[in-house]
Amino acid sequence: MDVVAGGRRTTLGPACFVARGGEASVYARDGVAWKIYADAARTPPEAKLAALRALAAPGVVAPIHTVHSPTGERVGLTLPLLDGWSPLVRLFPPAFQKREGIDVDAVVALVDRLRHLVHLAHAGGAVVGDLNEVNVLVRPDWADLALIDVDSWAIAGFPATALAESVRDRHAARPSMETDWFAFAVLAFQLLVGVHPYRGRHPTARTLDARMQQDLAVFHPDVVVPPMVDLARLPPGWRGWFEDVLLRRHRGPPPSDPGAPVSRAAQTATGVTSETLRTHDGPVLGLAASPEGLWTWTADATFLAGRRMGPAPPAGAVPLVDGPPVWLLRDGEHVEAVDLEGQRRPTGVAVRELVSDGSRVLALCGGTLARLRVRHVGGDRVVVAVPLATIQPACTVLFRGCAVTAGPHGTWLHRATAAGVEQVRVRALDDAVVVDAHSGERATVVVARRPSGLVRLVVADGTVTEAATDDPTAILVELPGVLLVQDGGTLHLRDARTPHAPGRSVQAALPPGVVAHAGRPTAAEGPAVLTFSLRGPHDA
Amino acid sequence: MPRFDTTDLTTHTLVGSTYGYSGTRIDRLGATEMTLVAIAADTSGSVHPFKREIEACIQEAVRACRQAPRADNLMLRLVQFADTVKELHGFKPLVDCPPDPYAGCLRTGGCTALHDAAHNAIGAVTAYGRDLVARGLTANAIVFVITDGEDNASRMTPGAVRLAVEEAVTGEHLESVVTVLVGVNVKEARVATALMALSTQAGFDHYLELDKADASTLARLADFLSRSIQVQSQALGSGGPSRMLTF
Repeated sequence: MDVVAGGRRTTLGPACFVARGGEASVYARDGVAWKIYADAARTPPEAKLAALRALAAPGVVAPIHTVHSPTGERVGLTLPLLDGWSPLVRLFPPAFQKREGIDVDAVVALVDRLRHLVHLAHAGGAVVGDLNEVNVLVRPDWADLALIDVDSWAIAGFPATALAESVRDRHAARPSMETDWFAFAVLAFQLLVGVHPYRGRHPTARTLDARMQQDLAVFHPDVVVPPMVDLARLPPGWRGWFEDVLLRRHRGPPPSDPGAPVSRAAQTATGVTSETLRTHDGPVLGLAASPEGLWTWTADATFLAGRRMGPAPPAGAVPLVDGPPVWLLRDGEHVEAVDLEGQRRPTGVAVRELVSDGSRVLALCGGTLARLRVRHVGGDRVVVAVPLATIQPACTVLFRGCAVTAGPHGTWLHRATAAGVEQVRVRALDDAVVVDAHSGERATVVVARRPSGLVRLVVADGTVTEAATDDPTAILVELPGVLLVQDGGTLHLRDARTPHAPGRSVQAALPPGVVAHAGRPTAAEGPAVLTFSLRGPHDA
Repeated sequence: MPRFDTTDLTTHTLVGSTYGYSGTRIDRLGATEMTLVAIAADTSGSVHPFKREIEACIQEAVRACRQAPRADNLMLRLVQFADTVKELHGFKPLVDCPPDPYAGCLRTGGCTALHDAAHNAIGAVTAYGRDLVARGLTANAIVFVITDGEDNASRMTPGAVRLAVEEAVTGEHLESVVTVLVGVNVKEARVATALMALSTQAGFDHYLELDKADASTLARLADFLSRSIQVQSQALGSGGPSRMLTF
């Protein structure tokens, strides 16, 4: 095929063919890329090409010349050639990043570069629209990015001309700068974590489209996430933004500072600083983190992210936050549930004991350790007891997130996890009485009394470490990449990859009832909700 | 020492079948979206004259797919069939499948258990895909059954193969499945008619007929396999099967 561009005539043939897409073929010749449309009428108008040319910058592959046929018909355009660059999708699998030695810092740098390029497009008055996994190319050293297919962008009154389903915002009628940030979140999430944020398995929303429509991202507790996915790779400064965009339909750019991964901050932390997230009219009685946001409750009302959602919980009720909170009230062995409308109904669940860690509730039901969950049955939310393990009720005590059995066969720890329960024989507790325990997904903190005094044990990865303590309270906070273990006025920071190894310690005390929310410890003090950050050696 | 490294593979049975399959432990996988590729290669006695070309075809398809942008999202299982069905390796990430061992990997001789092989190849992608999806992964599949003749040794019927295809398509585990029956060196009209009938009865999506088995033809088949695999991989996430390519 003979073509003309920039006053030069050339021939494009199979020898210089690169790829064929839905609407055009690409050739590489004379150091430039030639994009030839299958339907010549699809060639963007000259006014649009002129507007796009004005956007040319490192990382924005803007058109150079219009390509004409020998008869003068407009058939395509030339573009800068990115030889050897790969589509972004190649970097998504964790196995690829591991094999190529692309560490989390390099990935964060790429995501930040992508953020800059989207800003650049917006600053030029363009909407990217089809910001998908093959329209972003990565340099062969995996250190830089470029946006291609810019002729599909919306600019100068011309609409966007393409949009991939994988990044299409189900809550917007047409591409906009806001939907660009949604698409950016989808790409950045895949680059950081290795999975599309709306993948995974959900019991009712079985297709990607359904999950995107219903905001069922992988953060949601009902979504089964592939085993190789590590949400701890999300930078803490962006974690809350990802949740806002993917679960709560926020549309906007991420914070400018992604922040060092908490695990890295933990290596140099010298202390903890706090800031007030919000202040209520009265003392905060409790709080719980959930995918919908942070729930708090006072003597007057229940709030989600500061918005009043319902009445206060009944006195003495135990919170179950499995979606919107349900308050559990015991009447003897029977449990009643009170919902956010204040409606009270029996659950049919009989328990001997139940304990909440703020969001999860464990119960002893006869000889069974169970986790109470909220299930959707018909249009109702029903509380059910999901059996976790058979236990010896007479010698089993419940704690937050776990149970301890001190029986004739030694002391066993039953840790509730997302997958069910993990049972660990803890010989170090055979000669001790457990005073308090707090269990998360990755570790359990146990405080026990021995004749020689109190000891604090951390059980993780099948390993037990212990140290003497004066503090009878077990407090554990699991953050992306780091575990916080409170011991009196000392906060121990353990690397989540090696939770059995004692980590760095700083002088700081987190309040009781502290939870992990948006990648940070969050707690209530009086009417205030506080969020905490690790302070580095150079912080004021 | 075995030709293919099967260290990380665990074996599974298939309900209603003599033959099972093996696959990589799911917690060892390094990607969350997988296109399962199954190739069943006829190794009956009549294939012997072009055995090397078939091996080269598979080897070249593997080599090409390893260069693809989505190579880390591909898993390959290879079986050969004659009197019986023999798994050469179970579902392995393609990046863990170096091309060299495919040269000389086939052993020819015997009859043609074509239906058994097709049933096993399709049943295995369905079963392994079900396991992947249960663990939160996403999967689709493409199955190639390559033969030079009619079945004469199977326990399974075309109807049983059809049920396996229907289960793969309607089971809601695999996002989509593409099944391709490839007839190579099909010179007799009788064989061509029989394979075409099998394709219809068993519910294959496509039947590709090659009247030769020379190096050139099988090199084109390798190109067809690798392009079809890559297109099916690109379709993962779209909810539907890929658009079938022309040979």
